[in-house]
Amino acid sequence: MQLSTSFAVWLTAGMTLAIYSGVYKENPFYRLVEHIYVGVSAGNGVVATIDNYIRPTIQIDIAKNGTWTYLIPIFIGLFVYARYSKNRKINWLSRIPLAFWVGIGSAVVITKTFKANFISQITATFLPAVTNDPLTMFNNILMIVGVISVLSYFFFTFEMPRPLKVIPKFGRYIMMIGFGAAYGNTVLSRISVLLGRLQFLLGNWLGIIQTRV
Amino acid sequence: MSFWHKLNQMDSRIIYTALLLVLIGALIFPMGLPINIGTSSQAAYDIFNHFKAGDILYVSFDYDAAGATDIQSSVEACIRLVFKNGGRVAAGALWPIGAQQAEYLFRDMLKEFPDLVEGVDYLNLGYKPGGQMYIEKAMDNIAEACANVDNAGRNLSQSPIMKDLKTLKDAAAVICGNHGSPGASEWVPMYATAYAVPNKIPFVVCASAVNATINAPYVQSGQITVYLNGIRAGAEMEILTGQLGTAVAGMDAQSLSHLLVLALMVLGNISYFMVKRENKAKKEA
Repeated sequence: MQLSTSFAVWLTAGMTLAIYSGVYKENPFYRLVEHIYVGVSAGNGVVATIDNYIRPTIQIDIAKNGTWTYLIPIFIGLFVYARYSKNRKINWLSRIPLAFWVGIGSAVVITKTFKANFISQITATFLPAVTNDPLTMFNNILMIVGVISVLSYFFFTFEMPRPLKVIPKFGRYIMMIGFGAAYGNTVLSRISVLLGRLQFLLGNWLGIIQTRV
Repeated sequence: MSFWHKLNQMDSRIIYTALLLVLIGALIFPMGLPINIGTSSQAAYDIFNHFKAGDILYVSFDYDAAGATDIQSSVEACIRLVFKNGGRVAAGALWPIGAQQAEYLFRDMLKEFPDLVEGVDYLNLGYKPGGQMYIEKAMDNIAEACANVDNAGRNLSQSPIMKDLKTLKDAAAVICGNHGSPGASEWVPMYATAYAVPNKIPFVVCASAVNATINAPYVQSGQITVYLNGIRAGAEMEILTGQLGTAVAGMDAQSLSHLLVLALMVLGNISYFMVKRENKAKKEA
């Protein structure tokens, strides 16, 4: 056992323990560290954006390279703050940059996201129901039946006749298996977060375990 | 109050304590439970083990410290293979903390590969805002998408690696370390579907396990070439690369904690039905 001598490690360990103390009971240490975390995250995001993107865009692209056209979107972008004005003659200006955002967002969805999340997903279910490999054949049939039955569960136009009701019911079971898989992966992920912290506390801080095998 | 009633109303802090004891116990006294290599990890190993000298891997660190336990080991193993084969690595980040994760990783890599030169063999482009828009711009011009500076604020024209990485299309493979949005859900439409799939460029996602069901349809459709799921995939990659680290060290604890959760779920369900039966019996009496 070799305790860390680093101030940063001790500070991190203290904050980790303070955050996890909230699991036992609400307390001032938990609240303090929670607020520090939110503040630091927000501050880091703002500084990183200014330092890595806004400042170099102004210094290099506009001032040095002379790409003055960048000033047009910057100028239009500033209009978004007009919504805070109480003067009705001004605050409508905020709609102009919002209109650009909506337009660009729609264009991206239609041109890229629609294909990736809709067309490609549909074509991926066009699978051969008969193959030489029995396992592939089973997988393909399960996929086809699963997709059809789950889609039928969300068919609300009219009530299905009694013999066909088994299809959406099967779809519901398929979805429940999906939810179970999602829950299992969530447990895996959340325990990993705790595991990472414990490896830090027991390894880097207290020196009881080796974090590298 | 019967045993089943008490179990049904158990204080959640008892569960937390039990989980903590299991995890600490498994970390201090590891049992070395077997870890089998899955097909996804093997596929990722094959891709990066055959990386050619000089080829560039682009890695997007789209995660923070919370996702690092799940993701960093997989990303690290892939990058290790690339450096081992003489490849080069450019790192970007769609999350502000992602740039720091890249710094930590390169710092560790320098201990293993001391001859690596920043700007020549690897470069941290840093955090760039915009998500989908950044990827879309980087498909045409990475330097412009990065406002011409790397994470340290240096002009990208000073880095030799950038002469061979004008656009994302110049990368021989792309890895997305995914812990949420922006992440794989942005990379799949903007890069994978638009470019990687038609040109057969490997697009590998190393994700935290919580994202598995969201990303699974992209794996089935082939939009994600290889999917490395959580710490388990990290452990497999560490075994394949022969450099055992935090993921392998944590797998015993992970497996035992899952057994505990499973046992509690079974007990919870039994107690639910037992209490129901007891209440019914009481009513009938």
